[in-house]
Amino acid sequence: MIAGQAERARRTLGGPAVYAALAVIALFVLVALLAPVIAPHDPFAQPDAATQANLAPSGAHLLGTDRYSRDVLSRLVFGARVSLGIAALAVGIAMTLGTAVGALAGYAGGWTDRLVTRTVDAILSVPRVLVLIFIVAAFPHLSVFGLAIMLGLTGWPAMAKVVRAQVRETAAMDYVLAARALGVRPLGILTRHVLPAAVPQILVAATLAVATVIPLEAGLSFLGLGVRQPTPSWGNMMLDGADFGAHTWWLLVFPGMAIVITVLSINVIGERLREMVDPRVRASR
Amino acid sequence: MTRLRPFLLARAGHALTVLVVIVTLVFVLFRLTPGDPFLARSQEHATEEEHAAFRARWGYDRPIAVQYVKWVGNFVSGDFGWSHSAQRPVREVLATAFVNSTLLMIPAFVLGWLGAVALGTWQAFRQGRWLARASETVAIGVLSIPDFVMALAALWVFAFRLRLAPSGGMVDVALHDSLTLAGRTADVVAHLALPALTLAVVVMFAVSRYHRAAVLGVLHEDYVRTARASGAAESDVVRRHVLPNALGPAIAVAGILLPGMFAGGVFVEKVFAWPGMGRTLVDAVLGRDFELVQAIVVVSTVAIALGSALADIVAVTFNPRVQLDT
Repeated sequence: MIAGQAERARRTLGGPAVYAALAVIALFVLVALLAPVIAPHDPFAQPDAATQANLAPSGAHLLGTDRYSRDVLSRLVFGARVSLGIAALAVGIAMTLGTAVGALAGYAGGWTDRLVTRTVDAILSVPRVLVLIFIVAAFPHLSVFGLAIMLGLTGWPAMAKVVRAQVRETAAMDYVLAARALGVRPLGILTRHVLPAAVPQILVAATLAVATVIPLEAGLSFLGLGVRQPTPSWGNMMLDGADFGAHTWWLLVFPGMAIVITVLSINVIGERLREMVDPRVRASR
Repeated sequence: MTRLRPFLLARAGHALTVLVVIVTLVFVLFRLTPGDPFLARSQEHATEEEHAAFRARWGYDRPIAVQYVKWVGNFVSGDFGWSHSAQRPVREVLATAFVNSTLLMIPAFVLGWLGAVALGTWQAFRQGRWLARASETVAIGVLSIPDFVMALAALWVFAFRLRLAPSGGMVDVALHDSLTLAGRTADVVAHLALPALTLAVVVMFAVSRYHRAAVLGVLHEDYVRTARASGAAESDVVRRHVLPNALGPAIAVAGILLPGMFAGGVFVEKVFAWPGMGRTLVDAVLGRDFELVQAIVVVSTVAIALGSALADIVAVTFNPRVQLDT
C-alpha cells in the first residue's frame, strides 16, 4: 500500500518534473550571474521615450520596450540578478538567525524554549507583508540591500520553528547523552552532534523559504514599496505594465511568467526534497 | 466547558502575546525612524502649532516608558491620530476601510472554503485517476502564482478582454448615486465579484490540500466500509460518514489562513482598487501618512489575532477530538 503510494508520488512530482525544475533554476541563476553578457541592451538606457516607448516585441527588441523605451528583455535579465540575489541574501540571513535561535531554544529547553516558542508563534500569526510594509513606511529610503536584510529579518521565525523541533528530537538521543557524559561542552555537542542531524530539514525549509521570499519581494516591488525604479526587479516591472490603458501585455506577461516559473520550479524541488527527508510525507501522499 | 478552560486561557494568552509583541514592535520602529516622520513632513508644510500639538498628543517630550504607556493608551481609548492624506481622523478612515475589507473577505472566504471542501473530497474519492492527479498538479501550480499576479491575470482576462466585470473600484462612480437601493446593491456586487472570486481561488487551493488528506485518512476506516457494505448510497456515505469525520482540519486551518488572507487582500485590493484596509495601507505608506499606517498595522493585528482565536475555538468546539495543545 505504502509502496504503491510512494510510486504514485514519484509519478506526480518525481522524475521529469524535478529535472525540468532543476534545469530552470540552473538556467535562471546562470542568466543572473552572466546578466551583462546576455542582455542585448543596457537595462537603464532610454534611447528615445518619444518614438521607441511601449514597442511590441520585434526583432530589435525581442520582448518589446517599456514606457521609457527601455529594453524589456535586458531589464528581465538584470531583474533576475536583483530578484534572485535578494532571495539568496534574505534566505541566508533567515537561515542563519533561525538556526541559531531554534538550536538555542531546542537545546536549552525550559523557560528559554517557552519564551522563544511563544515569540515565534506570535510573529508567525501576523502577516509578513504587513510587518514589511510597516518597515518600509518607517524607513522610506530602504536600498535593495536593506530590503534583502529586512526580508531576512522577518523570515527567521519559520526557520527557527523547524530547527527547534529537530534539535529537541536529536538532543534526546543516546549518542548525545554519551557525548555529554564524556564531558563535551554544550556548544560542542550542539555544533558537532545535534545540528548536523538537522541539516536536511534546514535545507528543505530554506528551499521553501526561497519560494516564499521571491513572491514577497515581487509583491512589495509591485506595490511600489520594494525595489525602486530605475533598478529593475520582476515585481516593479509589472507595476509599469499594470496600466492597461496602453494594452502593453508584454510588460506584464514576461516578468509575470519569470516569477511564476521560478516559484513553481522551487516548489517542485522543495516538495521533492521534503519527501526525501521526511518519510511521513511520503507515506501520507 | 470545564475541559476547554485551560485551552481558552492559553489561546487568550497567545492572542495577548501577539498584541504585545506587535504593538511594541510598532512603537520601537516608530521611535527608530530617522528624525521622526512628522518632523520630516513638518519641514515642508506643517505649522509650528501643528507640530507642537503632534508632539504633545504622542507625548514626545516625556520619558520613553511614559511615552509607550501614553501611546498604547491613545490606541485603547480610540484616539488613532489624524490622517494627513485624507484630512480626517484616522478612526473615520479606518471604519470605512474595515467595513469594505470585511465585505470582500467574508464572501471570498465562504466561497473558497466550500470550494476547497468540494475539491478536496472529489480528489480523495478519485485518488489516482488521471483527472484527480491533473487537478493536484494544477493546485501546486496555482499555489506558485503570487496573489498579485493572479489578480492582474483575472483583471486582464475578465475585465479588459471579456468585459464581464468592471475594471475596479467598489461602485460605478458616475451612476451609483442615481440608482435605487436594489441597483446600488447590484452595482457593489458586480464590482465585488472579480476580487472576491480571485481571493476565493487562493483560499480554495490553500485549504483543499489539507481537506484531501483528511478525507483520504477517513476513507479507509472500517465504518466507511461497513456503510458501503450495508448498501448505503455513495452520496450518503460522503454526507453522513466521511465529511463529518474529515472536516476537522479544514476548520482548524481557517485560523491559520487568516493572516494569509489579509496579505492576499492587500494585493487583490490594490489591483482591483477596492477601498479596503490593504489598499488604504499601501496608499498611506506611499503618501507618508505615518499615523494612518501605524493605526492600520495595529488594528489589523488585533483583528487577525481575535479572528484566529475565534477560528481555533470554533474548531475545538466542532471537533472535540482535536488535541488541546496548550
